[in-house]
Amino acid sequence: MYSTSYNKDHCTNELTMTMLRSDDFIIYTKEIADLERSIMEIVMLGNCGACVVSRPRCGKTTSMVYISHSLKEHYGENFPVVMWDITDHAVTEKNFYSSLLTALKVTHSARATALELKNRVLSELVTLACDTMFKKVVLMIDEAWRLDQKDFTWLMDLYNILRRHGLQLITVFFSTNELLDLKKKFKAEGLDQIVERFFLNIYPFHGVRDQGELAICMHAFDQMNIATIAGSEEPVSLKDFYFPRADKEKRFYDLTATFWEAFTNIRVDNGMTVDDIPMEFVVGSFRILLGCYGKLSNKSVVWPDYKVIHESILRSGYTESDDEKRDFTGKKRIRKAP
Amino acid sequence: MKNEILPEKREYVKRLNNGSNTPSSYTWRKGWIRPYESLYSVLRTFERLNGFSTSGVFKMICNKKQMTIDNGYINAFIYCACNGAIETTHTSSKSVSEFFSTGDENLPAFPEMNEKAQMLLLKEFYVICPECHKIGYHSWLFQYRTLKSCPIHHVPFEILHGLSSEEKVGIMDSHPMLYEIDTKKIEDVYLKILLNVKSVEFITINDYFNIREYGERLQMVPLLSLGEEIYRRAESDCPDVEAEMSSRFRKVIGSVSNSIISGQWTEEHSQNILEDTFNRNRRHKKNPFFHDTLATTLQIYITLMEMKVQYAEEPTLNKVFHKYMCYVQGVYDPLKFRKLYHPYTSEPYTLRSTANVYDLELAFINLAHLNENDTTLVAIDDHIRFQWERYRKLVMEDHIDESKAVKKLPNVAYLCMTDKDGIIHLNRIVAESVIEK
Repeated sequence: MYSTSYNKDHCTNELTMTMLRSDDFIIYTKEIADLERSIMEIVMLGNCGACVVSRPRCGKTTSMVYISHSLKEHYGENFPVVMWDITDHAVTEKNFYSSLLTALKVTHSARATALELKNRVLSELVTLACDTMFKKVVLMIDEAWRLDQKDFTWLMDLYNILRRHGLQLITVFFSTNELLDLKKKFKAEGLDQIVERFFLNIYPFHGVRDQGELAICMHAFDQMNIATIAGSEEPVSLKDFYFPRADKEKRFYDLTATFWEAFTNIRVDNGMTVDDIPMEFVVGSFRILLGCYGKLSNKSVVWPDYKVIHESILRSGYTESDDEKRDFTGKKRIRKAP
Repeated sequence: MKNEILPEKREYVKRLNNGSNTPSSYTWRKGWIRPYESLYSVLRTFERLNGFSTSGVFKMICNKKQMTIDNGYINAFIYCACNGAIETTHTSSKSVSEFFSTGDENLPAFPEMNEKAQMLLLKEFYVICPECHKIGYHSWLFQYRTLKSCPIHHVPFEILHGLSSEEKVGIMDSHPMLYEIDTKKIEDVYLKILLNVKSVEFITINDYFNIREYGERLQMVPLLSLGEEIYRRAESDCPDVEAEMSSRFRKVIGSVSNSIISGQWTEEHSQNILEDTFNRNRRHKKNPFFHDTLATTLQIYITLMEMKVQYAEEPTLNKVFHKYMCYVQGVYDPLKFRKLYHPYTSEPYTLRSTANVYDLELAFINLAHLNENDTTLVAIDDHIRFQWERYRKLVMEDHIDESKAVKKLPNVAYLCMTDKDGIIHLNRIVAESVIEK
């Protein structure tokens, strides 16, 4: 519990900031809308797999969460969408199935053999697939570039077994561009069975690329209310809470041009080559704007101007975002030539 | 900036309900329990689909740390359905049955059976249909003794004498969501033989009736039509057995006392007999537990005396009947009440010397109240009268020697069945083949 000295407004601020960072708040961007359509199509067609690739912090994981809910809205609450976060792992069959079982939210014994775990995975996938009449399971794999060739083989094995029983395992890989390197590697090694199953549909995912897309984000901020402790109070908009002295007619939407100008100038000033703005920095800079220049800050302003917006963007770390490529250890690679 | 890039009323913020993230230790759907499936089959399916060991399953369901699978374990589960198990003394079966319970008590299951009814109607070994087994299905109805082959696949059942011969079944070959089993044919069998039967008790009056042998010869007929119905009453319509028997006893003793039993028979004698019969356990005076009374023994006396009075005027018949009484009671002086009223013993019922009607264990094992158990007394009454008719015919019409006639009597037992409308039916079963021997 918060101490009494920690007043209600500060508490609301903390909760709102937490909410803005969480999956409770997802902006339905144009990129998400496009990807949603594509994934819906893949699921409808029953394709084996697809890859969604982008540079870091563009919102792939968020889009994955969003689309998983969209699929449930479309196909029904029971429609199985499994989200699997790949971490660094020793490439063993046991690790593969154990990790997948964890993603399936199934507890299992550490002493179980790989075969027992595989049976458990199959049993669970069959159950999930048969829970709806569509007989499909969608597996969304985040950070898929961490998968090894053997992992793909075991995935293919699951796909084949399920297919023999009339069930479809649709795998969507979400990854940074390293996954494309993996595809090239498999292709070069003649592993067509993997490439042709999982790498046929590749969807590039971007951040905010034009002012119109940024306007959608700003409009979303206008639609958002603050998070309160009990949630029983009258809804208060972000603008009314953080900038109460501003003109009643003001909207964050009105700041779109200023935001865009600030982002553009920073990009030019820092010699950044990539022309899309990762969503992380759009939302991040907005959070900074609220938290550091809103009513609870000692630098509070009546209404944000270019200067504070520019400052917020700089503080969000946007200038560090031009990592066209990172290697597997996370180190920067040489930037592409402009 | 133009506002038209933002369509009106479009929601651009999504609040998601992420639901529960609690990992589960097992996956199970009640719908996976297929019609007529035995609890054992359900347990095995659960074990297989969740990758549990047998001990793991019991650890989870019954909070038992160690559990080894053996034949006793199987027997406790093969006859049980999830919605209602036949009575078993296996301690784990109740927990398992509750765990998998569908909550629908109207679903078909084996009727509740006493031990002897199980011996009569159920196979003592675990039998499987090899085809059903491949897809991980076993029905409790397969254990019904008269069913010799699988109603679905029409292949003979295989007996599994040991668990080592039970083949493992693959997950993808047996997942209940992948394979539907057409249990309509099993249902047909159920409807044909067990429909409406809620519980079955098998009553044997003596140990001569070979229950298993008779069970093997049973035909695929409705259980309720097995044998000849000799008595029926509503389950809730319990008679006052003590009052009825006392009245019957006083009436018959009044008819025979002076001429047959004793010249000094008084009401005090009758009162002693009745008190000794019914009031052995004061706590249940009004409706004592059946096993606390000597009602079975008194019933034998009443029946015999009633018959004796009936045949008193016919000397030839009376003589033959006296022989029959000696045979029934196993003594030369059948109406002396030695078994009932013996002043020098505190346990009169230990004097079990009756040849054909001596199975007083009836009283020991019966845990219901006396009034609810009148069927047992009716069965004893019927047994003596039915056997007498056969005995009389053998001796008087077929002129068979009295001692040999006894050996030619058929073995008789009784099925006491309660149907789903709450009507109790008492059917007489006659093992006729014994006569042929």
